[in-house]
Amino acid sequence: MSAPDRPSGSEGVNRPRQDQALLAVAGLRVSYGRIEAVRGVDLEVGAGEFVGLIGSNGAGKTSLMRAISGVLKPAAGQVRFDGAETTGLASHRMVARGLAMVPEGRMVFADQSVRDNLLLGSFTQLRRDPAGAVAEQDRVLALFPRLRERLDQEAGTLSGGEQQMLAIARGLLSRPRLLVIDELSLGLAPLVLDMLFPVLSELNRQGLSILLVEQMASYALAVTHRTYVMENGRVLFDGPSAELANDPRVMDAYLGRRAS
Amino acid sequence: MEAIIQYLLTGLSVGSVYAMVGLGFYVMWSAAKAVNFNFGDIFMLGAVLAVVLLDLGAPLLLAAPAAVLAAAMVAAAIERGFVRPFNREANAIGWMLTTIAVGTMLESATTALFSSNPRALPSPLAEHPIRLGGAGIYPQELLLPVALVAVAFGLEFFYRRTLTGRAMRAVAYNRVAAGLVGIDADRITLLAFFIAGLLGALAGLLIGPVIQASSTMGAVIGLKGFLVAIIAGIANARGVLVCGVLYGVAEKFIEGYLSTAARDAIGFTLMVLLLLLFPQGLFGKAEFKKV
Amino acid sequence: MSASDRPSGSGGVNRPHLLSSSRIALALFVLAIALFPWTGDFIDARFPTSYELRLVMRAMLLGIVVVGLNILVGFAGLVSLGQAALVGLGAHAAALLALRADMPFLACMAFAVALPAAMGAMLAFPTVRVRPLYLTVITIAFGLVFLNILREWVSLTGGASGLTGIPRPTILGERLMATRAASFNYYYVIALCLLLALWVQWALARSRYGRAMRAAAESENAARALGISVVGIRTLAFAISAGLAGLGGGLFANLALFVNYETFTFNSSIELLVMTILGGSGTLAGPVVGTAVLYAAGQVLQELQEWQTFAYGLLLVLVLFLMPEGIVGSLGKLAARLGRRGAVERQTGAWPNFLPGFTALASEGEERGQATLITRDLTLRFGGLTAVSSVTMEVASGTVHALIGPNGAGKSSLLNIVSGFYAATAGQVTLFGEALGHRAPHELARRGVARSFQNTELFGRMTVLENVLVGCHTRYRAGFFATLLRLPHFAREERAMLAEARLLLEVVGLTDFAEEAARNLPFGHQRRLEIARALALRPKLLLLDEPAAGLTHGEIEDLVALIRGLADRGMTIILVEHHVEMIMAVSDRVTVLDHGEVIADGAPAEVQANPAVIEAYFGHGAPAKVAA
Repeated sequence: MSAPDRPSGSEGVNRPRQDQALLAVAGLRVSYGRIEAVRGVDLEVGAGEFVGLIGSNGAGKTSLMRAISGVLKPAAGQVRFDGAETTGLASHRMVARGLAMVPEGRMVFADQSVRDNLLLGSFTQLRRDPAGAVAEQDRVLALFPRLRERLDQEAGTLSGGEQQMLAIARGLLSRPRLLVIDELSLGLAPLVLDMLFPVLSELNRQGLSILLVEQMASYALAVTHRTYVMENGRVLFDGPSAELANDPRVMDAYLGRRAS
Repeated sequence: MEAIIQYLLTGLSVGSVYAMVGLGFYVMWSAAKAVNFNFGDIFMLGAVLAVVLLDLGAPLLLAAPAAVLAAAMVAAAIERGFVRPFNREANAIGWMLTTIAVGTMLESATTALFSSNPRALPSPLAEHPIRLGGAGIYPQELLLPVALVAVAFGLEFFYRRTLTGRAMRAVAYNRVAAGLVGIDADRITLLAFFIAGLLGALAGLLIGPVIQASSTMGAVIGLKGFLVAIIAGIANARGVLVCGVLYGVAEKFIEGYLSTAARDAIGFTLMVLLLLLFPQGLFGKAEFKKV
Repeated sequence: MSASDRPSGSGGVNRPHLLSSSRIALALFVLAIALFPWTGDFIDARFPTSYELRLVMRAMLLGIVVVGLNILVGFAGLVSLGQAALVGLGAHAAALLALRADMPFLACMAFAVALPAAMGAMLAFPTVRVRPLYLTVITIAFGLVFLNILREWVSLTGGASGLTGIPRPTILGERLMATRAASFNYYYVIALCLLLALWVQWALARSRYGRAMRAAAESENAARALGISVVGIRTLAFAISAGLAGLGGGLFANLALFVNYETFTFNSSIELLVMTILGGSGTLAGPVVGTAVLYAAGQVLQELQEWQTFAYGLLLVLVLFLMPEGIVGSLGKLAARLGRRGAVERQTGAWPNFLPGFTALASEGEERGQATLITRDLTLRFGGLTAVSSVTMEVASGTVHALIGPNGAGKSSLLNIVSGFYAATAGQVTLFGEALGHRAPHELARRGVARSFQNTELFGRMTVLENVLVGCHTRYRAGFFATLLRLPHFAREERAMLAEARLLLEVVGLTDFAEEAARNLPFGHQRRLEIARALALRPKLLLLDEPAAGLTHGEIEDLVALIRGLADRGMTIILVEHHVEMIMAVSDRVTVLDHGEVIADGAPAEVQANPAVIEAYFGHGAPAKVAA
């Protein structure tokens, strides 16, 4: 088995400029009561960029994603999306603005059919542009033919990999400009991952910006343009993924070794 | 034999009321994991507001839907004002107390402003009883099971065939995930309380001509609806429906064969025993509590 | 004894002067009650009249009932809306036994307390298992049924005309009356009962029972993990609450010498609840203050006639929105804020601090080398998902056994099976040499299994010291009545536990924070506290679920020292963790899970070099040097 293809060319590397960043996070802090999970993070995703965020469990990745996507309100700091300040905006408003998140643990609506899950994915679009929503459904199902075979099945009966496909498809159906994926690999077998990562690369080639949070560092480093490494609620460093793949500091951060 | 048919018919009628009120609790609970504790007052408002509107000279066909709508709006307002601010923490005491307090206010205000005595809610269907298999019953009472069936199909259609209904199920299943597909969970919850209000007020409106409208008509029926929902396993709509109807029928048989006075004592004892045997309710699944 | 303070410092430090001011308040209260009937002699006027005296006696009766409700609402976090009916049950029991069975006063009163208490237990047990809120529903139902029975069972209760001609109570031949000729002896009986109720409340608050009630209200899971039967403690809380309601009822029947159902309505239950919340639920003085204020206001509110109930509802809403802590709670907060100015900076101690006393406290582990825990083919399925799949592993006593694996591998699920929170779908667990079916968490805790939680679950509103004391819950031997009466052997035990809890705080370096509310601790300290609390159980097996998550490097090093130290003293530790470095430093053995299955098992270095493990963590194609 080979690692998924790296997107061809290196034009994505170092592409984002401050002024054109699609997502810009500055000094973001997230706390639960007295517990500070994210302690001042700066992060950017440029238009069309495929960015990774890696780090060991408990590093604060999921809390950061939840604050960006509006699931929880940050304690401090700023989130700008598409040129406008969106700090503290509720998640349904972020979706309407074009930022969709595939949450950790997938969270498909297990008691509803695959078809209905997809329909709910189009929730915002069905009101704006019903015809476009239907076309988008076809386009997304073409990416995941497995889902088309199971349209009438309850989502809870799908396998883990199929649920992840459904979660991604559901996220895509809101026609986001930025797709945030939290822990794609969670509980999935390598075989499934080998199917999913190329789809993400393809979506990115078609112009979708992606922020991928991943524990499996090697996967994330292989498919993304640029990667942030997080530990203990902070971003330790970031850089072109190709360079980080051979950077010993990554493994140090991973293994909880003190970064020297 | 006649007696049995009589009990079955009247039991079906009153059971439909319990089922509709119980379904109201189901709708609220699934969306918010919280309920209006004094939901019986919404039921009461359905009948009382209809009488008030009739007093003001409105025709029945206008007064009836207007009363139900107004009561449902009160139900929604209670969600916004008294449930939501207290539904952020896991502890259930806050919204329980506020809705009880509001219910007390509603009921006593109704007593003061409307009447402390029951008042007739006229209906052409409650003037002359008809005979069915030897049993006497008002057509109005037969309207209730019909309404229940309509409500059940309506809910089924709403939850399974409409986008908003699917969104409500999504909110019930996972609020976070619902938000991530663009659903405003707060608005859906408000809507759920409104729909529950429609169910409760409709039940009150329909039974009003039979039991008369009064400020206190909702207290016991609201409680029975809640108990029925709990016994059924509050998250199971079909169970709530079945339990509601069965409880109504059981009540009439207890009245007929044992004692009218002891009806509620026996009924409630039965429910406590059932809860002892089936902690999750008859149709409920063991909840999986994440640790 | 602090009367106006929370059961223990309301988030602040127990300052001596506040303590003494509470004592002065209590003394003044007792004095005022004692002298009230004789006021006329001091001011040379006809005061109090028998009517006024009666008002005060009724207020004291209500006070007793509200104290009971406060134990339920303020301690156990449960709500009863049938409290008035329980009062009615006590009143009718006392009246009927006196009328029909010629029972003496004290025997009647014993039944007046015992019957409602038993009824309370019967209502609570089936309902508090699933959702505490069900209890509220059932109590409403009970209230309605009770009223219904009183109204309909005319031959027993007299229906609307009620029970009249209840004989005047006597004790040892002395007729009890509230007249000057009888030295107001019945007045003093009631006053004494009120003080008794306050004593019960205070004694509960300062005992493992009260702490367990509050713990169960704050975090059901943590309470269960510390050996508290949540259903049991809630049932107890309601039984006590109902018993005090019955006491009030019995006294009422013997005061009025007449009872009928109109006194014990749903609206009266609401009134009682408003008194509890208004005074400040969970505070010791709240019931007295709430009852006094609302009772006095009630005399005015009567003018409102049909709007009176409305006013109670409105008052409850206003209190809940504006002053959820009630009068006493809000005052206590204010005092704490004023007192905090100029408070000394608290010192965080170094930890772990294995004091000489600690080793003696550590439970005797089993013989080294034996298997503390064996799982065989353990499987856990939720719906279609298999979280744990046929896991067979063995944990040797006195070792640190790490459980690692990628996110979602089933580590926490396995821990939850071992600690009793989940019931395995299949397979067997052998613990301390004994094959066990599924046991509830509190039963396992009593056998010596302690745990921490991934997202620390402290009892946030309780103090740091109280948190540790809850951990001691299972080790108390003094029974319920010995505790209430604070008999010498209870007092000795309580002192010993207190000393031990303080020692444990010193071990984790939190001595200075003992009186701080747990939720105000910084995160790292919260983790320390959770471990200290688990150690208070004197566990033989300690399960730690990601104890290092969110800690700084320094804190992790301390944690490693603690874990190692515990294992060296014979404790067996299972550690779920992600910090590889920490695992390498601390574990004797490592089991790796992936997709619910064991993929590797062995010494840390072996496992670290295992290619399957590396792939599970980093994905395939990971740089080879990881293994190094």
